[in-house]
Amino acid sequence: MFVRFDNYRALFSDPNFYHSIWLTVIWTLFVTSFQFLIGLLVALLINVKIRSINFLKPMLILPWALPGIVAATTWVFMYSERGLINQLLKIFVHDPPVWLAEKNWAMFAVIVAAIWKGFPFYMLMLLAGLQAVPKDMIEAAKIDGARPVRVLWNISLPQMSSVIVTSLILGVIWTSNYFDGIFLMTGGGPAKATQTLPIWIYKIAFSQFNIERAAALSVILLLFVLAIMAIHLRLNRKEYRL
Amino acid sequence: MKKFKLLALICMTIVALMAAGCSNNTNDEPAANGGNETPDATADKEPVEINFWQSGSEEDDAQAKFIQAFNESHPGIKVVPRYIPFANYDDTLNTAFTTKSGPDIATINSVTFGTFASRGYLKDIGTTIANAPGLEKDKFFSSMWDSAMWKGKMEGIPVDTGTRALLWNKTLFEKAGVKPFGEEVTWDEMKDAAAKISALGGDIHGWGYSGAQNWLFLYNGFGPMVHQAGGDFLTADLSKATLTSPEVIEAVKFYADLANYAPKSDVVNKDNATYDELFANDKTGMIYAGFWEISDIMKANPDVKFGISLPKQKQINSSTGGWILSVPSYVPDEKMEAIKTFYQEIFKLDNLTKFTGLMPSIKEARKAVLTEPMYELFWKVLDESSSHPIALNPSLSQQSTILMEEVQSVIQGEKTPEEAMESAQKQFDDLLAQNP
Repeated sequence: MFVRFDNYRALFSDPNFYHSIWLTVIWTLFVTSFQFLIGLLVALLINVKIRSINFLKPMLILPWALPGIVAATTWVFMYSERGLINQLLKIFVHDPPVWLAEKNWAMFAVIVAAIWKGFPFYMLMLLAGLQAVPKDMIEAAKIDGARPVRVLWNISLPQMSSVIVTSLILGVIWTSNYFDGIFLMTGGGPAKATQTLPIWIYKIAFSQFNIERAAALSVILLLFVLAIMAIHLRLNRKEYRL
Repeated sequence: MKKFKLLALICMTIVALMAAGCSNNTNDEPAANGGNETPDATADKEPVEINFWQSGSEEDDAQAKFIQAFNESHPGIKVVPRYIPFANYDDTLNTAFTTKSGPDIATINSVTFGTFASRGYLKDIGTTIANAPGLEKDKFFSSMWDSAMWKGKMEGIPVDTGTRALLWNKTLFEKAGVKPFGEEVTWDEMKDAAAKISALGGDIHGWGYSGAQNWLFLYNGFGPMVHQAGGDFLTADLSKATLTSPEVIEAVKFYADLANYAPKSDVVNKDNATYDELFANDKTGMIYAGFWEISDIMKANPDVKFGISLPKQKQINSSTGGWILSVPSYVPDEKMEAIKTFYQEIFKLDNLTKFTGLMPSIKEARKAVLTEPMYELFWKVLDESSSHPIALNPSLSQQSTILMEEVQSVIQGEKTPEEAMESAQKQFDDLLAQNP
């Protein structure tokens, strides 16, 4: 039966909707930014051919290659009361938090796990971009007295713009739609502290059997992703020459 | 021009996608031909095919033999079983019912029965089974028979149920110097035992629970606690919530108090396997569990020593669940005679016990299955004081999730029990107004 925009109206009047939108924005912003920055840092270290980093290269790809359920289960153990993280923290702190079980820490904990899981993607993409920068341009800049940071900022990064844009577009889409890690670690809890839009869509569709409301929410998630990408591309149109 | 075409394409895509969110789930159009078979199949003397769906990961040998024997002894009927994993079962059924193409008869989880019945997905079988030998009402446990009724109509026959009770670890009780519980145990005694066992320190806790799976939260904890305190979730006519009553507040406080003696991570624990295993390995003092969990506990540690008691505040209560055998509304009347015959065969004691590892819904099963002494209390509470925690209604899943999240906020110290239940009350009443 056609119900016009009733499902959308119901969503807009639900406080959970705004809560989930806000969490999705926070989640996407922090996860994508830190995955990108750490990926760039590691790619730069590999690119300057530091021997110890080269030795670790296969290990660095491991988080990205691991199945989501294995990675999430590993983090659940690490974050538990008697897990590795709290055992180490107890050396310095008397009563460390139970990361996934405390409302104030749960989002931070799942963000850290997601950054670890996803940074190798940026590392690989940006390393490929770095290695495609013409060597003669870098040499010329060095002869002109440019320091490494200036070479990176003025030569390498602009040359890598298409790789950066592509990887960030993919990153934002994947991160805002990310489901399995959060669901397996916290199920959206405690007390909705990690209930991003994909988690809420799942609950509405498969726990409450309200497929139509979940479809409406999925459309909103799609528009959300499109809006972010439109803003991103608009702001950087000239720089990236798109 | 190119830009205009691109814009038009994008607009059309967005409109098409938005339309996906502009329908509802009412079963308002009858199936053209009953969904999956031509009505004149019987006229051609072809056997009537009955597609039988149930939850399970693989075909059970005893069931397969029963169905094979049934098909052989009833040449006019051909039962075709299909087993669907539990994790996908409700979702698969929902899709089948929505598209009106799927089973002719299916087991329905009692917690989703209200959702499916309220949407008109299930057929009234009252006239079909009226006066059918072997399907008389007094053959069944009355509370279970009533649980398959929807607004006065018989929309299935209950297959089985299961009750829960408190399991307490004898080894930890002895270590902590706690006096063994009797057949009944008060909430104060439970809290006292949980505190003493947690005081043993290390990785030992007095209590274990699942705080992040809505059904486990409701059926293996909070639901029976509310009834034990003498409260209820809804008014008798199901029109209003009663969550701000002193009894419900008392149950929230008790649940949160016990959570203090459980691993902190239990608030985001989504399964019972975690606490069952800790209990089996003498790391958790008490859990509230269904009798079917005992086999898993003993598998994890065959030497585990435990007792079984029934918690009581104002009264004893245990939650029941189970499965109901229903017929989708799209099934044509021509098939109902064959379905009645299948019902009659299934609900014979010998056959029914092959279909369930739980407590069969018929009274005579009491002396035939689960006869070991350890199951005695589970049977006793089924007879005397057991029920679905919240009366079956279309919003049961949402309601259990609301309660779980509000109680989580109490455990987190974010809200007082009163604030949490006031918030839950408002959400319940909104839902009840939307789905009367």
